[in-house]
Amino acid sequence: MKDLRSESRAKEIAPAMVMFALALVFLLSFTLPAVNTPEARDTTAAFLWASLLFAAITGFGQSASTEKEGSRIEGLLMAPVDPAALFMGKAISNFAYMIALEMVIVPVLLLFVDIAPGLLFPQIFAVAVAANIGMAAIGTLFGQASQYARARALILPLLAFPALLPVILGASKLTSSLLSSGTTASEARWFVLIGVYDLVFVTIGVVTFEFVISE
Amino acid sequence: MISASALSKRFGSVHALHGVTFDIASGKTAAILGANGSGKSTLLRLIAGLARPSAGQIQIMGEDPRKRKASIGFLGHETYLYPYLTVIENLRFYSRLYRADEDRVGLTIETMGISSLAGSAVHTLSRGQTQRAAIARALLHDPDILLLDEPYTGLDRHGSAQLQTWITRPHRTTILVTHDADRANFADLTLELSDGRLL
Repeated sequence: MKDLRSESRAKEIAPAMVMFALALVFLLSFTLPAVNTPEARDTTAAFLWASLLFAAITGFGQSASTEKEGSRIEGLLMAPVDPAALFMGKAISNFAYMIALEMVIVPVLLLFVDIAPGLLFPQIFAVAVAANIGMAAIGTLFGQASQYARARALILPLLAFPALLPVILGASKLTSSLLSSGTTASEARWFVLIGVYDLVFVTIGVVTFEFVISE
Repeated sequence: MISASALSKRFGSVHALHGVTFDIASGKTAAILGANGSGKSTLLRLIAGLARPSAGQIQIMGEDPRKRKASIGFLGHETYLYPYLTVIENLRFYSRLYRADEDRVGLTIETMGISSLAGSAVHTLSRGQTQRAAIARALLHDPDILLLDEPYTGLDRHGSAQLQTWITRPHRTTILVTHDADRANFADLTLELSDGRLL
């Protein structure tokens, strides 16, 4: 809660993520094919998730740096608290930032491709929620790990992109399916992959966070 | 009892501490003195469990400091406070981490004379006011062991004079790092460091 309360006043993370993703969606929308073909829908889904990915990485880095700045992570390390709880708290904050981002970006992108936002937003949002769990876990873990590197802005995407790839691919496939047929029935296996990834990275985060933040 | 035995700390090729050995009995106040770069802060961080020794060992009541977190209060160079939270929100957050009684927050704020600042965001405070809030954070869970690194930083004459009152309580072991020997005259024992060695 302290992260969200602090962010509601500082406005350092969520607005930057939203503005970055909006700029990407706006720029990429110019290159979308005008005809409503399966290829166009695949491209739209890929653009959405590429925009969310880049914006998320920006936010994860900033979120991790709030603990690194002023060595506040040491204040947390000094407390008799299970580092797994620290990881979960930070991951939940990052999850919330992703939700705020998607609440803005998904309807905007749907408008760009001439789909009434009310029509597909709930379904795409459900896909986003599933993907956000893994993204937040990976972003929290690698965001904190990158804080100890000199070129932290470079290190975070280098570490996180390969790990995020399956989640982004799955979310993109499911979104594409929704844009084409309004259902994910034919691509349900991607939900399973995202679910497995969520579980794996939340577990890795819980187990390894102590080693990531300690000397 | 805080015991250090042949404690050394290296950062790459730089030796910050060389074979430091001492015992501080429970309930005593010790001052660690020395010039800039003598290894005072490194030694305090080792005692706090924030860094691991390169050689030797440090024990608090016969245990690794990391196993005694609940009984340690630490004030470092940084305040560890969140700038966009108010003083009371910061202290409530840390009190939950330490599972301290909710009453301790109000009591500590009152003791430190920062009641009027409780609702102010930390980034709006002066250096001295922030330092008072940081000391309050370290005292919040009424620790048996208090580790203070240059606690006088930013405090005015009144605050500096009061520091001893704020931190002293029966049976508390206090270690105070300072470069100014005059400010540590209430200590029961003094450890002086020079180039990472105990004099």
